[in-house]
Amino acid sequence: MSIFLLVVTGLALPGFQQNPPVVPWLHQEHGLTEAQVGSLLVRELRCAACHTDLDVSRRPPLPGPDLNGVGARIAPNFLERYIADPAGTQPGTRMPALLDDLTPADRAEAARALTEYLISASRSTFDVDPPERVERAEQEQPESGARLYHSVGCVACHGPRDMTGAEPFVDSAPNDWIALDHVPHKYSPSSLAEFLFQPLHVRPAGRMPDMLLSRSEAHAISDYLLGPAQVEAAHWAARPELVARGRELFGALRCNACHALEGAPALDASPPLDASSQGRALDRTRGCLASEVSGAPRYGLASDQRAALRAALGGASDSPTEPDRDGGAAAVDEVAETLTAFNCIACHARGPNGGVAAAVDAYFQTTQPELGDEARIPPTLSLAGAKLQGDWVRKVLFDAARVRPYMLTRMPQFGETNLAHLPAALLVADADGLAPYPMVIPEEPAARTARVAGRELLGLTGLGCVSCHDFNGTPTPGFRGIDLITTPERLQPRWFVAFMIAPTRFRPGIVMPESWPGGVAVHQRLLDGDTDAQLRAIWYFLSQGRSAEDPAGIRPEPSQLHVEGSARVYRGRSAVAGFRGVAVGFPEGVHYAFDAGCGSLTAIWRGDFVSVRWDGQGAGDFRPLAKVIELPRDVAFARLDAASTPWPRRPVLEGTNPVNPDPRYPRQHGYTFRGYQLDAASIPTLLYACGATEIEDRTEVAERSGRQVLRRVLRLTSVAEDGPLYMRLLTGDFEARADRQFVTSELLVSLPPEGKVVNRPAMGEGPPELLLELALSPGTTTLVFDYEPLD
Amino acid sequence: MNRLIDRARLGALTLLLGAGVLPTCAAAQELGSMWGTESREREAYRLVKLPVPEGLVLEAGAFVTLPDGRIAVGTRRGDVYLSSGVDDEKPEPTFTLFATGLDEIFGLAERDGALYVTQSCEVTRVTDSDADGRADRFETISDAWGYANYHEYAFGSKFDAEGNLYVALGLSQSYYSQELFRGWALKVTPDGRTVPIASGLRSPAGIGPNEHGALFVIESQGPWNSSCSLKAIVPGGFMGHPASFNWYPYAPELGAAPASPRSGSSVLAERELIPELVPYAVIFPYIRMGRSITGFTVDTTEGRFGPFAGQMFLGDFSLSLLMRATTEQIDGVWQGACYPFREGLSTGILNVHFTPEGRLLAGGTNRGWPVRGTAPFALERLEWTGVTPFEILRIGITPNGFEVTFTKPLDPTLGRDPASYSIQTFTHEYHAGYGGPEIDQTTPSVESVTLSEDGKRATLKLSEVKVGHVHAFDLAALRSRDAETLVHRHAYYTVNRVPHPQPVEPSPRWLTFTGGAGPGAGKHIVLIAAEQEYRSEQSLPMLARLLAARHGFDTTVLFALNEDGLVDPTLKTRPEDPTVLHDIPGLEALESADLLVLFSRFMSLPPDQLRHFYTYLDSGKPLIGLRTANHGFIEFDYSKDGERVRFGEDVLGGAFRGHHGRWHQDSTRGILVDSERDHPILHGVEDIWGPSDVYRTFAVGGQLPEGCTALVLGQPLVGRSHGDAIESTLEPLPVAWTKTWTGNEGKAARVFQCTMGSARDFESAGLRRLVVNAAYWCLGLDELISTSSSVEIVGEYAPLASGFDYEALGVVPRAPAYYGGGAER
Repeated sequence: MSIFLLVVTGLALPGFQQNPPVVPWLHQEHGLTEAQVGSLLVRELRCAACHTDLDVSRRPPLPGPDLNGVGARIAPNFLERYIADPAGTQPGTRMPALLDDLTPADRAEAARALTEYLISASRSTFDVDPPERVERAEQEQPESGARLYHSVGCVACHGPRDMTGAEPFVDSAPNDWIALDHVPHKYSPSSLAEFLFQPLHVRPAGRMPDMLLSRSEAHAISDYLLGPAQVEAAHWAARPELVARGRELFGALRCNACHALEGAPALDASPPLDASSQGRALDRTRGCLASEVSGAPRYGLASDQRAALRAALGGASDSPTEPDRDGGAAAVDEVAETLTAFNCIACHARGPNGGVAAAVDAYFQTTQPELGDEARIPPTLSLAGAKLQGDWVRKVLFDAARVRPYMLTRMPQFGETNLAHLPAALLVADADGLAPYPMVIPEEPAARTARVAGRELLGLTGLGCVSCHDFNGTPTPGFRGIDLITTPERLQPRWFVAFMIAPTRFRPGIVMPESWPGGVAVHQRLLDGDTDAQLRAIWYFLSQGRSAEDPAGIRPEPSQLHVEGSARVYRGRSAVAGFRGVAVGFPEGVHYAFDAGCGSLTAIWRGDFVSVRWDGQGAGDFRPLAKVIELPRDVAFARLDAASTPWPRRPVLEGTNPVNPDPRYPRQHGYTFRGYQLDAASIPTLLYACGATEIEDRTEVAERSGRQVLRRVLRLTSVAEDGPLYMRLLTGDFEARADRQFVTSELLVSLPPEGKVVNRPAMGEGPPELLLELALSPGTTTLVFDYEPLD
Repeated sequence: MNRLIDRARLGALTLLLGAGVLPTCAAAQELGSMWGTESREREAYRLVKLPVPEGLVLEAGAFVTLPDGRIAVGTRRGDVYLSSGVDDEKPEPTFTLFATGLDEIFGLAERDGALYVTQSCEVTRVTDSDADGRADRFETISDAWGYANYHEYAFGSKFDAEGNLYVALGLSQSYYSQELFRGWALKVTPDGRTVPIASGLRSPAGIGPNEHGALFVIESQGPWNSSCSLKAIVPGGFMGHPASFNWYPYAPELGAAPASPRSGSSVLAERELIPELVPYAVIFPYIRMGRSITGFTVDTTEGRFGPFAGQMFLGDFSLSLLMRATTEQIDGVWQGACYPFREGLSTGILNVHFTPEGRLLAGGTNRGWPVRGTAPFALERLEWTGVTPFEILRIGITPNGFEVTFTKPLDPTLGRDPASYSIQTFTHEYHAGYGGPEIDQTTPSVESVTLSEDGKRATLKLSEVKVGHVHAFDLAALRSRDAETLVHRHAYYTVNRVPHPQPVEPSPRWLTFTGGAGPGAGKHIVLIAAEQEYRSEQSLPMLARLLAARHGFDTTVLFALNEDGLVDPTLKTRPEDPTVLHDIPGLEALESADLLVLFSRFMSLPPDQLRHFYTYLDSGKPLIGLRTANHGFIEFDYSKDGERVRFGEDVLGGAFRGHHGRWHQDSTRGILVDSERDHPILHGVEDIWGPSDVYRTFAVGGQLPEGCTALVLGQPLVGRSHGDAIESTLEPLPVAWTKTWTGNEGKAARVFQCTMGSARDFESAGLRRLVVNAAYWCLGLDELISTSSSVEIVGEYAPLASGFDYEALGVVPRAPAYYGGGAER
């Protein structure tokens, strides 16, 4: 059945409101000829869906919205009204009215049938008001959706709206914003959010691009656009006979020429409007292009749109004119047409065309206003094909790569299939825009000279580039311009050199100073003031990537580990606790370090916890942030033959290749580290063993006589008599302070009542030592020590 | 990771890449990319950045998927995050801090709800004992190594099937071994012991199983390693860098230290003197294939990640790219190839991991060494777009060249033209200096190319395969049938061994399969498919592929051919046509056979062909008879002690007497004979069932002849489904037994007969294992029978039904090659 059979008996009903399809770029400065505009309109309006003799094969396909699941996405009542009168329901829509020529009753029935069919083809149904919406709306800042809408870039195509989201700011609106007034009647909060989160799912053609919204951002904008109104929620029960009728109509009306829908009828293989196959020419004043459409899909075309279409369709030919031009010029056109079709020109200028419209200029914002318009207005695309590396263009277009974190307007993603042709076209179109600039490879020793000079030029003692640009991931203290290290990855050398010599030639008004005005180096000391040599040195220096040494003025901050709320354990190498060190920090501001390699508490300090370096190969070592009280780092427990036996000392490594002469120390003295267990306050109990004695070692902050101490509780569990166990507490200069209290110049240690104190003098090369001799019988012994740092 | 990075070299590299390409704009885009292939790669593999919450530093060093589907990410900063949502189409993964404060995590494994974290200082079992979502118990599982230099990194594996975990320990400062076991690989057993297993590592960057389950390690370029490489860790092996020899006294079970290698030699020459030295399996030519290759994983996605299922994937730290590798074992030595895969990642890649949905996670950092990717750290996801890229799928070695398979059929003209295949070889000096140039280049000529029928497999015969050399393939001249060029034209195969030649010359009249790795290496099995009913022309090639690829046997399949040289099951037999004379070409193969697997039926062969069987029967070599083999010959004229021998009864222990159960209606369930359950042939055999009926081989009321040991009884079932009921009126009869046969020269041979064996019977893994085990047993390899060995079918197997209604069954004469396809290795 053809569309004509359906509509031939119907009456054309005048009086429909003329809402021409809104093509948002149409009134921008696009720079296209009328025929080019028409040619784009042929595509955008999907004329070839029925006029299959129109050759649009040069472009990627332009599928219409995917109708799978549409019944769950769009309110049924809206769907029905929209099918009956698309432009009257959603002003500006590109979908033509297809049922005009039916009687009102037939039209209503057809719309009803199509709607029921679409609903029945959806796996789930439209859900009006998910309960979490209310909760969410209460949690979110009410204006966050408005703020996002007006900052990420929605305004470029949809125009600014009032704070309720309901009304456009009329005075700012040229009449080609894509209207959103219908949105509250069309979507539920969740279905709109889902659409905004991944718009290409439903509209694969990419004209509504993915704005890189997170799910929560999509919900915020959805809430903003829908406002407090609740969408109509009629429950629809599908009637089989109407569903069948709807499916039949779906095929007859060729809905499937634009829309994907699983289970839909196959597309009629011989469409009625292939003029060439019918041996007649297309009449450009009738059908869809008539000023009063009847018997054909009604787009409500404005007169300028009709004129452009007629111009594109030409006088003699039945195909849109494809100018026969060479590759370069064709690429120029292809770029211009693509940038127009996707409305890139709403944000980007290219030559005299495009650019942010005055009505929305204020909504292009930045977190770095000091950097000027460069920081808030998307970059010009003039000479973009001579500026950017091809792979970088692909990363920006398809992988959401971005280097301007300060720019709040986002570069959307239009879908790789839709723009796959653009990177190559850009490079060809702009191929002759700048003279090639070969980068000469410096050879040693010149390479070293170049690296040194490049580094100095970027630094504060050179041109000071790093005072306004991030470098290697390290923020500058001042402005936060594009990270310089990305330069060779993004830019072509010829553009880099030309831009550095004359930044304002490419970016009028840029705040970047000219360092080689007229090609003459300002900085005459380095590389003899040779401009080329300096620029090559900078390029070469940056080409080293992350290994490039920081220029002067860039200082990575060491990371300070903070202890907040509960205790904190950090394992890492340290000069105070060895390679198997454990730093334990307490919110009270007193901390200790434990050498898990030897089982000894090796350091105590008061103040901030530790700093950790993260900038090198072997980063991660910790340094206490205060002067530490160091304690001996040998094994802390040992079974000595006698109280006079020398303490087993850890091997000392010396020389350029110091091989550990005693790799089994401390294992051969019975020590085994077993790990640690954190309690609810994240305080660790260190677990280790000395021979047959298992040791639980827990230290916390406590008070003793009103003074802050580290209280260390040791629980020693022995399974068998195994001779006396010695614990070494202090070495060097210490003296007895009171009964079972010993003091150094920095620390007061209080011993538990258990065990025999062995205060033994220096023996041989060893220092004086304070030992505790423990005769452990099977079972558990608990020992409590207090360590009081003396200020 | 490489420690020593020569900045000048990197700078020169960067500019070198830029230099040749700057003058034109189209080429300029190659600057900054490694292979210049990113725009092609992205058509098939899309790179998706996984956003990391603001303020979170995620320098990923290790990944593991938890049983609940979350992915644990261990970082260089010593944190473990649990991540959900990495597989979402537009990912916004969550990262929950599980554990913190550890030291450089380069290994994560999971078992029984605990994470096993390999950090520089130890392997730690990390658990959340109070179930609040945050780890609170950190138990030291192994710290049996020294650690006194920041460059002494430790890389940990996942658990193997026995519950062992492996740790690879880098040298001190990447040059010395100052602390215990620096430069060693250790095994941490389930009972908590730490066992040193191999010395000689330099600066490993990942450890785990290769695609065949053998333990491999990533090694970095440096002293004694002229390029990065994948190496097999062999217990007791020496991996090439002698700095770590000083710890052999601490590993007494491994004996004395190996002899020290001579600097300036070659790995293979030194291996002659130092048997412990393990040749480097896959060399990654420096710069061309990475500067510091890192953690690897195996594609277990079964095709969800595209055409490279079962291959290894690994990253490169310096060049921010991903590569593939495949390996094979020749004469017990591992070797293989590496292939470019995807460039343009954002940061230095430290590790890769497949997500539950079959995407490849890649993560890392770029601090400390030069890295091409400019992001300080990144987590990215590579996903297959569904587009099959035109790529070299795999390169395998043959006795006189290589077999190169492709993801798409080749343009036949170019594919058959030897000029399309450019191969250059080089080797490295094996020396104490840092890195080393490619030396001793040769350019072997490709003498011939055979292209498979599907156009995807090219078998190259070379003028010479250079042992000890990397063979660099450049296949830029090839085109697919759709005229595409290869996405990556290069691949690099490291030759340590050339496989021995197949014992039987390949011929269009029979099939040959070269043994891969396995216990059967060096043994030759001849299988003869010459019957009309049970589709042995399908089942025996399948068995031959299985025995070759999974068990290492060289196999040859001979067929009964018609006058046109086609395998023809429709040929008449003497009972139907007294004039018929059959033809089994290639029986000379029996001379080199170590085992004959016979599946013939009513063959009438010319005397000169029969003579090969007679000789075989005198040779003392073993024999397996399948189903109709016990009435396999008609004019069989072999005598022993003056008496004519009945082949079925006398040699095989019984011939067909009747169908026990309804022919083509009932099926057979195999019942293992209880008293023989410990028989090696029954190891691992379970659930034998086949749709053919039971053969009766002795008279009703009789029994198997003396000397036969029944292993499996066949119980007839009513009907031809696996679960059908037992035909209770029919007793089970022996369907598989062993015996010995002694011919005229007095040599005893092991014989196994199985009267099951229709092609559909062999869809039963139990039956396949029975016959595979029988092959081992027949050859006296009882000790090597393993219950865990694979009897998975290799390639496609779609057996037709049994019977004589050839037209209805779709049985037509076909060339032998028709039955050889689908072989993988």
